[in-house]
Amino acid sequence: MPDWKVLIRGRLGYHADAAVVTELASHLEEVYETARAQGLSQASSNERALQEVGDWRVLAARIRRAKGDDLMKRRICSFWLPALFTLVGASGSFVACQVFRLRPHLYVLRDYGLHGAIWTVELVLYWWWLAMLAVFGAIGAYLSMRSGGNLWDRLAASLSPSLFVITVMCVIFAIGGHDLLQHLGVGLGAVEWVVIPGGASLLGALPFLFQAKPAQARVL
Amino acid sequence: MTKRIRSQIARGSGELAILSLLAEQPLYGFEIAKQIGERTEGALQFTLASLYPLLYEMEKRGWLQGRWQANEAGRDRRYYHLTSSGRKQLTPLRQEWRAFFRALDSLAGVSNA
Repeated sequence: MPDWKVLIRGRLGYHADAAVVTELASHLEEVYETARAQGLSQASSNERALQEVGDWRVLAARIRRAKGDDLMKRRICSFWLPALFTLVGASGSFVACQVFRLRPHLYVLRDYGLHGAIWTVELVLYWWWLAMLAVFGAIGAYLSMRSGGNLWDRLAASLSPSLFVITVMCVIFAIGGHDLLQHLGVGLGAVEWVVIPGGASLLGALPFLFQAKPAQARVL
Repeated sequence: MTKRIRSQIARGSGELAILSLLAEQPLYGFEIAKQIGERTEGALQFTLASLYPLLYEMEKRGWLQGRWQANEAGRDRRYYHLTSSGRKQLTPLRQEWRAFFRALDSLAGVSNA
């Protein structure tokens, strides 16, 4: 007998509700077992079960339409709210670092001559803030997981501060100049404000990224 | 247009069939489809594709409520219960269908066909 859950999840798309997948799989399993009990071969029973579905895309669209509000609500709960919480938490903790005068550490990466001048490339790291980002990244991924978010929802929710900053930087880069200094500034800024903070958020989120979604009974 | 009317009739009759069945006892999807097929001698038949979207929509409207229960074999099944709102829908739906058949009968004499 085929693994109906795997088949349905594959056909309905990754965002298919776990409860819907379980329910439809149970239905197909019973159709298959009934056909087998009537003496049909495995292949014919399989075919009979699949005839119940017809066009998978039509079924997926009908279910989405029927559960339209729930899908939107789930999207808000599994992605938008955790992402917003993480973003506000990350911004708030950065402001707190400034208020409490928690000074950043400067790391001098390289000195070199450019257009006859000596330039110092410095990396500014707020360690306290990075530690808080790990905490908020973990909370974002946990909130998303608890609301049934998949791997990508959890990842995006925990990385929302970095995603926000990279979007802002892209806009500034697009409307600004494109000389060498601009490129260097954007590159260094991306490391300081996107890559390293993203790494900190990801570190906090890791324990929750691959955990199973809550049991269907709790979802319902 | 014809297709639209057909689909509305099928949908309306499906809602009435499901509400009537669940008024007797809570059932899970496969059992609903099976009983409708058996009790109408195959005249009304639900497939997975036609049944579940309708069940989910009726649930969204608050007419039904699904609850997971495991059977003796440990298999999880979602039993649909009729809510008080669903029960209230049953009487006007039955009246609408009676009126529909009377109208059709007076026009086409279908009851003697």
